[in-house]
Amino acid sequence: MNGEVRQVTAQDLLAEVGRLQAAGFDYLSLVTAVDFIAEDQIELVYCFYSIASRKGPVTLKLRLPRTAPRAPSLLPLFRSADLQEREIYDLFGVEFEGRPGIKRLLLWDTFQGHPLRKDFQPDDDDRPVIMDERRGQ
Amino acid sequence: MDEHMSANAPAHDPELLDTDLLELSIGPQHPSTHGVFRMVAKLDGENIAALEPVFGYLHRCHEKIGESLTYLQNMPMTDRLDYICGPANNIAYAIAAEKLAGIQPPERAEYIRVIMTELTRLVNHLLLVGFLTNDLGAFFTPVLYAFREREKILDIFEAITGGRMCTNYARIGGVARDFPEGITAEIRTLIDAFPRFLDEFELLLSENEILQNRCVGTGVLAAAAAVNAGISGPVLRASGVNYDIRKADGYSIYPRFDFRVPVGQTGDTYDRYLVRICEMRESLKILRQALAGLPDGPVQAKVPKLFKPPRGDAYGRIEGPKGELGFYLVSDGSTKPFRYKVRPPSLINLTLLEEMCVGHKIADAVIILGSIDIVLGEVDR
Repeated sequence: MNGEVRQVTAQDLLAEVGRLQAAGFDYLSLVTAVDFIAEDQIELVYCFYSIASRKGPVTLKLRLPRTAPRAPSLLPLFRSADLQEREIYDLFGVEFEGRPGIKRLLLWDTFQGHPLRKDFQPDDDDRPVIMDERRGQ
Repeated sequence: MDEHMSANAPAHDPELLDTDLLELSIGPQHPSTHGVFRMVAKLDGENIAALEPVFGYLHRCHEKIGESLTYLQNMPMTDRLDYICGPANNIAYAIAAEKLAGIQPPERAEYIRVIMTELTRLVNHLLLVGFLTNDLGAFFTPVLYAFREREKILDIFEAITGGRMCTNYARIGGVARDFPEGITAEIRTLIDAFPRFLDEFELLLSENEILQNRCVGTGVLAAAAAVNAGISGPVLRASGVNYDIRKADGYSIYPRFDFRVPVGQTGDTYDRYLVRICEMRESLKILRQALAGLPDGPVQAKVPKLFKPPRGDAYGRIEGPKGELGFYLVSDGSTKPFRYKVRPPSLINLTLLEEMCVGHKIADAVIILGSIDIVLGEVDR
């Protein structure tokens, strides 16, 4: 990764972001996730820039377990986390603590699964129609 | 301006009859939403009390598809993000991939990329201003003037790349092919005639009473809120923040060019309109210098046919016409990206849409959305 990279844990994420903010990094540009399925982990990536001093990026990386991943939400500190966290919740299934009522961003509310996970099985035409499902209606 | 327009929530007088808020769904199929975008507005009379944007109607798994294609196969896919600005998307993706593999494109390719990006910025801002006047009710007259000029630039794109909107032009380590003979003269003719068009366009619009009445003081976005919400590009600069990635990062060869960054004062819709007009004039300056300095030489660095970047990740970003357009790529050493993430400026610029619209009339929400500049191909991916 270009620029400085810091590994953080879920416990000290908010403190580290607070320190960055105090050091003038006022612009949270990118929030995203990567599914490292071989290591059974999901990594959250945060890229910070400083608008005043033109510095950056400083990247924070946070590794979470793949089953039931939970991270603190950055929404109280950075509004730019709003839609990007919703997207990660939608496509990776990461829960964010501190922002109740989070909704999917791109997919519909009744959608099952999280497509950007590496083991996601798309519900495609190869799957036979099971008649019992239709009879039950 | 009357007072209640700027108030955040409509006041309820207990003496008066209490009325319910009306929930109105604008879009997804409505011309004012510039694509399949939906806004759920809660209306108090004609005033907006709450507004929720709804995304996803054009979601087509862009990033998931990106993981199943090779690095080069992803290049034409990037055209389909912000389909107004194909060349800029190509170049942003190429820059991210070059960061991943540590490749430096040759001089001439850098110049060609700058010329293509700035021409794209002209196309984008022309369309934005044209459609903004459409949203204001000037039905299609200014748009036609904007389209006439855009057409000339698209002809140049066609001569260079073979495509008018989906150009598929950049390559990892350079560009797909060199400029055809005589194209620099054509571009020079275009940019020599362009200021006269801009003057005429401004004469028609900038001091137009209706445009000013509707846009001045509408949808004010404060600088601190914009920075905190990750707003970028012309929308951020209209709010008075002097931040242009071409200056801040100095990527490619932008530090060599002499240009200034237009910055607004109040962050209202009028500022967002004016910043675009001024940016077009600055782009012309860059184009003139880039054409004058265009060196001879190869347009493609030596890159293996089968592009396999080393393990690692990289974030490459450019000052796209709509804002910070970035690509975050993770490589596992294979021919396909392990993770392919687009940082879409027009999605993140919508973060504060509700705050900008609340308290205004419903017709103002249409122009506030128009002045943010979204393309749904990029918002929903």
